Amino acid sequence: MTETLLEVSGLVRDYTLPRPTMLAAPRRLRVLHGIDLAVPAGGSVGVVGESGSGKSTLARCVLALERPQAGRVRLRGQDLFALPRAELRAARRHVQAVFQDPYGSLDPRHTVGRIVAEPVASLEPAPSRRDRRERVAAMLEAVGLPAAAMQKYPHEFSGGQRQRVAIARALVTHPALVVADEPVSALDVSVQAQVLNLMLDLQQRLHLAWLFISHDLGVVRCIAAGVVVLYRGRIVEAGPTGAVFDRPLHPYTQALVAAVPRIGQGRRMRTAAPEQPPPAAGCAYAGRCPLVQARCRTEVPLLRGEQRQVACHLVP
Amino acid sequence: MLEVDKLLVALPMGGRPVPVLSGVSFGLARGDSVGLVGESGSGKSMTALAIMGLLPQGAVVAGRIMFDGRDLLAAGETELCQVRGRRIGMVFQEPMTALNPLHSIAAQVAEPLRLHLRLPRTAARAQALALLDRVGLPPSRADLYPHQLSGGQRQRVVIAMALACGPDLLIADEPTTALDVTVQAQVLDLLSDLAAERGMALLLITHDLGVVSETVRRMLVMYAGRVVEQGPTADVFAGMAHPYTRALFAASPHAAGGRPVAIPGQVPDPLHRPPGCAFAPRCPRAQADCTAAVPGLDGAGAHRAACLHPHAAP
Repeated sequence: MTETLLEVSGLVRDYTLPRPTMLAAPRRLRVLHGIDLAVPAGGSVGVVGESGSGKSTLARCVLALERPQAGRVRLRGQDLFALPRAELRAARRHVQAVFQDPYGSLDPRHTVGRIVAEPVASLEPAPSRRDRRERVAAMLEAVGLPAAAMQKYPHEFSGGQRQRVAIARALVTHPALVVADEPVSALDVSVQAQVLNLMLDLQQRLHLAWLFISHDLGVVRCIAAGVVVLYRGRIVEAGPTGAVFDRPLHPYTQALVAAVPRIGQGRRMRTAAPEQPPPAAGCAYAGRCPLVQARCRTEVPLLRGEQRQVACHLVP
Repeated sequence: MLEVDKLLVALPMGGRPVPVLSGVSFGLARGDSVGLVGESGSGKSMTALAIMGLLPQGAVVAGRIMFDGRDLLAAGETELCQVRGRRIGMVFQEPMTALNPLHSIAAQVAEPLRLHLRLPRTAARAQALALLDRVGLPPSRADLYPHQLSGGQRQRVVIAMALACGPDLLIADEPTTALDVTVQAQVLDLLSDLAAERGMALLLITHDLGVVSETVRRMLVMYAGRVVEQGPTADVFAGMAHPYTRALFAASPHAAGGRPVAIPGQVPDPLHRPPGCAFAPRCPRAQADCTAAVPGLDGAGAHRAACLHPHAAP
């Protein structure tokens, strides 16, 4: 049994909405309703769901960029939100991030060398300048960029190369976990394949774990051994990626898998469930679910199961 | 209805015109649908812009684009304005930038009706509400502003605008790339339904082979400004004669699990296109003769590939 690297338990995150009137109490919107998930050391877990499902909020909580209202994020058993500031800073070396937009996430006025060295400079206790330089060069090489890239600026690179720079920056502190939020969504198919392969190689070589967030099921299938399906801030299904996508159990996962356009298939009629405002009680998917029953409208289904977990009243 | 014939577009780069599209030809009949696929830089969007007469300043154009008997390339701006938005509708990738944040969605859908069809205000509004309802936005939402809508809803507003005047041709450039899969499925179904209902022709531009496979009847695979393979969608996927088509397929993460296979190298920029077949430097089947001359889109049947050493049909 491999060691658990990241353990998220009972994570709840609310956002405060603008007050409807000046004297009214601010309203709150619950974005995550108690999320539990684990990433093994050197493993990869994908998080899928529509926009608004809470994927990115989950990523931000795991990165300790946002403080949840309840629940824990433990990295190697250490609760990130219970740590004092200095220790949290030290812990950040072990969790790094890659974001979607390779244009917006790199400072256009810094050289690639400075961008990649930044986490070392700010998170590690005074490494020498030479040591820093060597590590940056080694990291650039690992992601398939020449050492000469160090003197260049982000605008001199293509989208795929920029995403390599972002990956090099994430890996330079030798983190155990990298949270990647839609890292290949902005890339062209072939470049996307290159970056995905790079991520898989680095995972093996550096014994790295990925928490991979994407709305693209094909991409998640390529990279993640396990998958978690989010719907309106709740996990509706989780399990090994192949099993979940080949035999989805939750009606929402079924709709999601059915919606993916497939090659070599003509037009299919899909059950297009329109968007609905979230129901006040019961299962959040009840308003769109073709199989809805009376119980679904009153009682929130719990996530049950061992290897395969499903939160649905209709799955025995 | 639409006939693109040996279209050539050159853009000024480094002081001289550099061809970005070379000899693109295809036809599109009423009620038919064609998909353009390829990586960025292959010329997909440039083809759409050429049809709409929206090429960048300084572009040099040759060939013909016949639309219902008139040559759009020879048409003046006034004539084009009567065609754009009226007979040819266009949907772009980014629905946020295509909408005006200061007008309600009903007002924006009504605008082409007032402008092109000269409908009075009330009639235009009534028709705008009907259009929005058709794309799945009920009248209760009609007076919302773009920022109050989700990405999928905005894209449906853009589609309603494009359809307002009942165009004969709809050009959709990556219409679902920014959308979630479930919303993407709804938008694609909507486009297909409308095409079937109104006998409208659809030109769909996408990099997603799955989307092409499920939405259009015929497809053109483009690479470095040329069509390298074309044919009925089912035949192209069954045969995949051009090595580039196979490479795109292998790179696509839809291929049910397993590692995607990246295409080595990158799309050559228009200034440095290699002689002969532009794909040769990245092609696993390239031989000496590939660099000698540009292979033509040969073959007698509907399914053709521009390759000297194509894969045999299975």
